[in-house]
Amino acid sequence: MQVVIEKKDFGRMVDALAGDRTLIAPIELDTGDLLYSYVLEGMKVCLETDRVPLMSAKEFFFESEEPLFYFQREGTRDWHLTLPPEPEERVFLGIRSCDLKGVRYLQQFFQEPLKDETVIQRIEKTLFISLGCPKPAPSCFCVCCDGGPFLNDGFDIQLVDLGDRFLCDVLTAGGEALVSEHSDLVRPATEDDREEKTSLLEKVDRAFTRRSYMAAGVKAMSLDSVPEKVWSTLENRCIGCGGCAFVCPTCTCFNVLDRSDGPGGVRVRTWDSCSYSGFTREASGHNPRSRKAERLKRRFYHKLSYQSLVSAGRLGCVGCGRCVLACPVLVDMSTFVTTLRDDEAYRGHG
Amino acid sequence: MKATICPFCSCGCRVLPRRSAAGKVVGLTPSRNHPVSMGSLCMRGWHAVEYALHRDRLTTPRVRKNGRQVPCSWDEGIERAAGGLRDVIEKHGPEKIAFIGSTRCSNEDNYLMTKLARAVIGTSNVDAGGRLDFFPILDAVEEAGGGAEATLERIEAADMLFVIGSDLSGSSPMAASRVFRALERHAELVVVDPRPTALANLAHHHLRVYPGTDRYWMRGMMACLIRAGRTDPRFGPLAKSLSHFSLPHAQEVCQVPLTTMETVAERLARARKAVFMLGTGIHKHGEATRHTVHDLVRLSWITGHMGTQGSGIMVVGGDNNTQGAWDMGMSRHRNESFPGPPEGKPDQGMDYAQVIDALLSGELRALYVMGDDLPASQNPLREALSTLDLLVVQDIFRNDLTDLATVVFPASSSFERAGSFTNLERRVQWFGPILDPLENTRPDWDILGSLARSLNSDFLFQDVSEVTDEIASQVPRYRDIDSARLKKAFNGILCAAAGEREPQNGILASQENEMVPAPSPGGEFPLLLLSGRDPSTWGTGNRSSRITLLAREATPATLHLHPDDAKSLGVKQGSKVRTVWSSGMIETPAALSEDVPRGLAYMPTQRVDGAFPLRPKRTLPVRIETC
Amino acid sequence: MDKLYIPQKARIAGVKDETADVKTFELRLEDGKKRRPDFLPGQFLEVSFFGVGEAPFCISSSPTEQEGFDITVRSVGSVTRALHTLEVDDAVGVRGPLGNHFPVEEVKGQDLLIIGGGIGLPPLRSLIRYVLDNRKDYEEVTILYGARTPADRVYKHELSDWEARGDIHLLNTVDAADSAWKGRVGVVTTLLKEITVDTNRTTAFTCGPPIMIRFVIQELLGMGFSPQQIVTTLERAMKCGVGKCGHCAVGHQYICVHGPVFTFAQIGRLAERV
Repeated sequence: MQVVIEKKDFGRMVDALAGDRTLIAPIELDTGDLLYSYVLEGMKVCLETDRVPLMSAKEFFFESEEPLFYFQREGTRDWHLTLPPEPEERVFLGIRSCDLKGVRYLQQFFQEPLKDETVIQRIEKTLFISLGCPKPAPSCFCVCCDGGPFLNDGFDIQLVDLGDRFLCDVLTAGGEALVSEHSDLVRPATEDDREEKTSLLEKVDRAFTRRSYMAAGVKAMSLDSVPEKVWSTLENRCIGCGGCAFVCPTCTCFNVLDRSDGPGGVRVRTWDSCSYSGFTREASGHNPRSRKAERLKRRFYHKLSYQSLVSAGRLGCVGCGRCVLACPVLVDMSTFVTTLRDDEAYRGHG
Repeated sequence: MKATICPFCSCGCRVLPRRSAAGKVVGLTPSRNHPVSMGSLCMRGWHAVEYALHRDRLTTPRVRKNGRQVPCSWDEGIERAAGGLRDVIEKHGPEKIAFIGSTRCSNEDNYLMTKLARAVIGTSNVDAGGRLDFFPILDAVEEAGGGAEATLERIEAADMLFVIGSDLSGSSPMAASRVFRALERHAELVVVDPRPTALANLAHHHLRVYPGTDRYWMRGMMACLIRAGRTDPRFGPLAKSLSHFSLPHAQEVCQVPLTTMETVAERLARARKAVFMLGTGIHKHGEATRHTVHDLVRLSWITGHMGTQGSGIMVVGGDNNTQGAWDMGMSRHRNESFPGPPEGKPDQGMDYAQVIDALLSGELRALYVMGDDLPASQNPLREALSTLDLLVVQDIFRNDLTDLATVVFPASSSFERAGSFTNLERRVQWFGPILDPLENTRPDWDILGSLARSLNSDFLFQDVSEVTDEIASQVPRYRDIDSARLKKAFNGILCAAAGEREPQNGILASQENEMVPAPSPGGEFPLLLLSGRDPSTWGTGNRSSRITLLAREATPATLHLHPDDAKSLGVKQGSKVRTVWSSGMIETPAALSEDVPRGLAYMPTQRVDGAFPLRPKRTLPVRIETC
Repeated sequence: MDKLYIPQKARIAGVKDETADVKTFELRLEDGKKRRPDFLPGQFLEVSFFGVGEAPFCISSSPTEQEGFDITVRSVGSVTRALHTLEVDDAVGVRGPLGNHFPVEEVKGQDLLIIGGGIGLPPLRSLIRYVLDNRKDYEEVTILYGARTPADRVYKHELSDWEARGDIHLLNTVDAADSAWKGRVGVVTTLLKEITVDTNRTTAFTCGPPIMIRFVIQELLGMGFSPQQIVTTLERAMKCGVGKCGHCAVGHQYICVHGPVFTFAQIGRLAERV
């Protein structure tokens, strides 16, 4: 079903949500950055889309650091574990289409072939009110990745910004239930509303200045035809920061370590990145990806062919553009695939 | 302000806390609206906060009683330190006391230490570890009038870039970032480095200079331009001093081909905006560094890039507050315009190296160290430290130095407090706490304040911003950079006005022609060892080794040799070798690489805490032995 | 998180010194009816020493044996060093069985050629014991084992027992002998020259140091084995062991889920070098 809510009334719905549910939304920091956050007292929810939030939505489902369990040893004779609490219900308001697509990618990844129950439960217990972007940021290229700026599924409610009001695409029973709770604030959508949405979709597509040739990238990967010079140039630029993995909605690599100070402690998992040389180094010292070029190849193949296309049947990139912003040295996805189309730029200088 | 500044390199990225669902800080996120970080961080920045949460943090003051260190209260620790200082002043005089500050501590911490030393104790023996690497370069740039005016923005907008003696991708990644953006705009890049670094591999010109001979290519370029009639009559005296400069000889010494010198000099003369990034690779010894920097300023001067819009010199590769520590007077060759604390006399005391000498000779009786990695694990330094009348150490982790101390004060990390750091652009930036202070730790400035009050001074600072405000009133360069402005200036405040600079004619026209010949290694120590850095290990690694993913990156120290040299030494890939120098040695595996020039050896300094000599010159004559 | 990352309790029922730095631990599960997990040869476990960490170990005993299950551990890193301090009745955590297994069903009725090098024998021991406990399902069984020195040989007593059996053919060698060694000297590939196989009906299994495997496979191909007939195990740094953390990923496969057992044909199709 489709309903409409005036923007002047929308604030009341947000307040109500913040009041009686656990609400996650993009907030504006005093640094001017946008960040997805649990909405607490005094925070300013911001649904502008000219900037993409600093980090993706994944940290609410697959956390930057979280306990797998707590342990207590009795010498070496015995041990006991305590599990962290079960996930709770949450509402995620204002998650961008690209980020929601990323969450659905995570859902598929953590479900099969073995199920990570905590991640899956967190996703299943979240009501998604996604935000389709009426205008993109210069770094965005979701249109090239079948990731937006408006989706046909994956959300409970999708907000379409029509200027003075939101058209809400309501897809699920959960979404409908929420709408009926605020029936005094909404009205059914009309033909005019729907037409405005259609023309908005056409307009916004043209507003994307960054055209990334994902098809070229996928093709080059599949044919294994990326010139060696491309890898060596990237290798000399990449500083191995790992930032691309941390900001990426579909990156899922993690490290596991025990922390303890005596007989008690915790086993945590933390975000990790295949860009780090230590990621594949074995206890013997042998490292199958000792060269940076090998790690870069791995990253791009993973995103553009293997894991995604072969295993998941979809592209491993949602075009959110965060790697474009987070990579200080132009080794981001967009630059990479564009280069493959235009070899010139990567000839290097000497 | 709920954001801080990364405490590793001198870029000064603005970082925000990243929290788990439970509200615990689990990492850092870069701010995007910041002129340095611009949404990026390096591998250190993403994980920096982890060390502050490490269980090895010092959590109680300690004092030595009957030969053993025991926990004590703050009052007891402060009184012991104050009493110890009073005793030494009485018995030996204030000139037997030295203070060592830190290029990693804030402006306020270093300022108060300088003030404590000069105004309260009455000694001018105050310096920081930066004396061994970056301070001499900053001194020389300042002296020549070519103060570091370059900003990261200028790097990106320049049409010619020099990166001299720095593996920029690791040491100042955000500067490297701007270099790559400049390359996209077709800027020309010159990298001067004996080894092929990542940046050198993408450069238009890679000058594989023989270490320590940079004056030869710099003068060579000047001579080329002068002889080609490309410089104007203003530079007459300089031209005259170079009239007998032998280009063929220069080529032979520095191993930069004459044609390269000519080409690059010409390109530089034509460039409209040139930025020079200078690292510690130019070090050879004492005076030579000073003259090398002066020659670079001369080169920038005669090619029209001194103090002109868009051009500049930037010192890269330092710590988060190398610039600030230097500005606060943590330097023997202080900027004359810094008058020092109100009651102090700005006379010259011992610098870091001289303090070590005085320590070893037994002349020094008391040492106060704040946040410095003084290598205390080996003799003779270890023994000398043990025999001081008083050794006070402020730090965040226990180490060999704190173990020897008479009094240990547990400091708060930068993540737990506020203050200001000055980055490589001379951008002064406020940092605010993102963690609750670890219980029973205190900020460095606060510890110094307590100590000063215990010595009956009027250090009545209640809040760090009061110190910031005093700096704003006392340090000419920091005038008007008060705490109120800083706290609101998320992007910091640039403290050097970028504008037309008049060269200090005295310096630039002066001859300084005596070129100390590059000491060629030979005899007992026939190879020259280059030290370098792996980005995962910062300094001696006391912080970076306590960050999981960085510790995982760091590999054991390895000596790199050219295959030809290795062959003649009988060294194979992976075999164990002993690197011996005049005052020590270290055993590591060897690796063969054509990236290492013949006659040189290369060892990234990781996990060699204490094994390198106290004055880690950039190059060291060594002998390689098989084990 | 539940089952995926949560270890079960296992108690040490026996510890045996194999070499100076290798021990075999016999483990038994607690907190349940079963004393050992349901596994097949080739599968592995993630074993925890809480506070230090977790590491993967192949199960070196056979599921056909009663009671517990074995892991053979070489002390080389922090987790293995910690495990080596443990004694009988100490408790560890185990997760598993993980990974795939040797194709014990598919090779029924065939001749088996099993080639082990040094510390590569543990997964093969599981296979060998399984085969011996199901002896009539398999035809000729030939075992070749090589170690660097006599002291480095694991399962010394068992090797003697196997050698003494009439229904299998076992040859030993060492790279370098000591004064007591009376047997063959030479790398394990030299043993291949002393046997005859019918490559039409033989499957070869090999585990050991990467360089040894390379040479063995080369020889096998030269003898006429096709890549599908050669089975080996791959190792990579592992963390979660359940195909999520990314550490052991090679191409689109995870060694911990799609492996560690692979045929040489499958390895050839992997997208990265191993």
